[in-house]
Amino acid sequence: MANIFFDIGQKNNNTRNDREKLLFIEGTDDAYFLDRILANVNADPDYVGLVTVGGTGQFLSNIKSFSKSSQFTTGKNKGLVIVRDVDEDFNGVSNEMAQLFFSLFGVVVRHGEIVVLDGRAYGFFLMPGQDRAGDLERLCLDTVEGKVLALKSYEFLNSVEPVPSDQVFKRLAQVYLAGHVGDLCRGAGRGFNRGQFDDTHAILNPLKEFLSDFIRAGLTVPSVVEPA
Amino acid sequence: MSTNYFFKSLNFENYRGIKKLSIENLRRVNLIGGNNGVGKTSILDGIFLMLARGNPLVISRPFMVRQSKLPFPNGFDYIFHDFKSDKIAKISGAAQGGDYSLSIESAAVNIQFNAQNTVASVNEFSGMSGGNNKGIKLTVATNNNALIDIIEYFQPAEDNIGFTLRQGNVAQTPAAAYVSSGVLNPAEDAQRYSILMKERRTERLYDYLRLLYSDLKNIQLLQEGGVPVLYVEFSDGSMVQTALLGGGFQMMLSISLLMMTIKNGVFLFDEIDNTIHYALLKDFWALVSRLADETNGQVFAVTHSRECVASAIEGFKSVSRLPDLAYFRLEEGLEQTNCIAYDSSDLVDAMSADWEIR
Repeated sequence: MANIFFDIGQKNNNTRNDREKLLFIEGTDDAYFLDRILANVNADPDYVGLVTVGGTGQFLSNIKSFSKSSQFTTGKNKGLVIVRDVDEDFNGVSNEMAQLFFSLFGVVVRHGEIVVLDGRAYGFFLMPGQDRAGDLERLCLDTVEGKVLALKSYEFLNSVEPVPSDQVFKRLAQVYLAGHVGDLCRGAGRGFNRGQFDDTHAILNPLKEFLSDFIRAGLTVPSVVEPA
Repeated sequence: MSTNYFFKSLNFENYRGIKKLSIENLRRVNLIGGNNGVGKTSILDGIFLMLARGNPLVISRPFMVRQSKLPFPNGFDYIFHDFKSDKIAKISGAAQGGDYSLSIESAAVNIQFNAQNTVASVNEFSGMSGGNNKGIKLTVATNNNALIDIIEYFQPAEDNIGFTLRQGNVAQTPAAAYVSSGVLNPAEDAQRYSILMKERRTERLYDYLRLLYSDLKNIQLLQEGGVPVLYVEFSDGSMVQTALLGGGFQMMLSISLLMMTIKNGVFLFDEIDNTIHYALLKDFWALVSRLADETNGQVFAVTHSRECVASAIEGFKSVSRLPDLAYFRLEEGLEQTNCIAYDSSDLVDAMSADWEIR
């Protein structure tokens, strides 16, 4: 599956910043993952774009820079959200994101919710989801929970020396992808994009609902492509 | 970061293409960007009018630099937003030492000519109800409306601007210098160079200019046909008139001379970066930063070029004066011109992540 909502390129990729609705994400692997999710919710790439910022520490400066660009100041942009990993501390990251939106835009937002202020939609979604620790890899692995390859990957990782707690899901995803039939794949998001996880799993519904709400919020023109 | 430069903020009202505009948090060097026709050059013209209001050429300058001439009659109407001269145009701002404001309003004057057809006297009429000539009245005031001066301009004839100082002293605001791409003044350069010679500061100027010509030995002030002319002497003994050394060199020479000879001044640069090769822009901005700091000058520079902004960042970084730099993008709004302000850290963040700032 080709990338639809972003352009493969450099670490910081904002070439789609002219789209009305923007998702700010950490890096390219997140872009591959969300590319498939956005296609799942029938988002229109002419209206929705992904912007990679190059790491969790770069959200504030990039969104501040975007908020000063003419796309934003002239009202062409109709919404921006952040989708990022929780890693270890859901409440800490949630507060940090809420503070970011409040300081830059004066809007109060919470995980998984879209708020519209002055015709522009704001929000953030923390992966894997509400009150959970983890990341994109954990969310992808959740979609194949109980499947043979997932179980065997888990058994394998348990059989070797203990891995650092903040790397469990990343390493597990690598084992899973290494054992998957098909082309070698080095990132969970990229693997998800290629169909090596289950994009219909209910664990993804909160994220899909969040994105659908975001796409619909404050719409003046249709930005969802109706299925043929 | 030193903050004793002149303007801290500026406001424009009913001036030229600007209905209303506020620019806050000005720095020592201020780059101004935005779409064509949004009012960038009007800002420079407005600051120049405020500070150099005693010079009649300031009024006709916007026409002169475009090889055009001030219309006659009603030649001053261009100063007012949408040419509506029945409204007052105003330029004001917080400045070092207090607030300043320049009000520009139409004024009717009655001009008496003498036998030689030159102006014998100019009488002001209240309002626009009398008089034989439509002029403008410039009133500059400071804190609490304390009057500094009133100057009236009028057009006794085509290609002719007259003025009269009604009250006050125009020397109370800083000197201003305006440099536009393609508009040079060799006679002024020669005059300013002679000041540097008298003050024995020419070696420093040579150091600055060696950024462009590393083999520059010195500059000679000569007379040609009774006119003072600057010549560059190179290390191989050859001498070349500065007018033949390219637009970039002449621009750097003019700017260096202005900034080295005007203290506490306000310098206005209109798209000058397009005369300077991109590889030299960083050094050029480092030089501007250094000179502005040394002479306590303040710079306003209009540019369309992202490369120019990037070079300015690098130049200011190289002399450890990055906080002295700010960038302002003007945008046309419904009721006013909006100003998007970038301090130096905003600018670095946006440029390093490749966000559009123009």
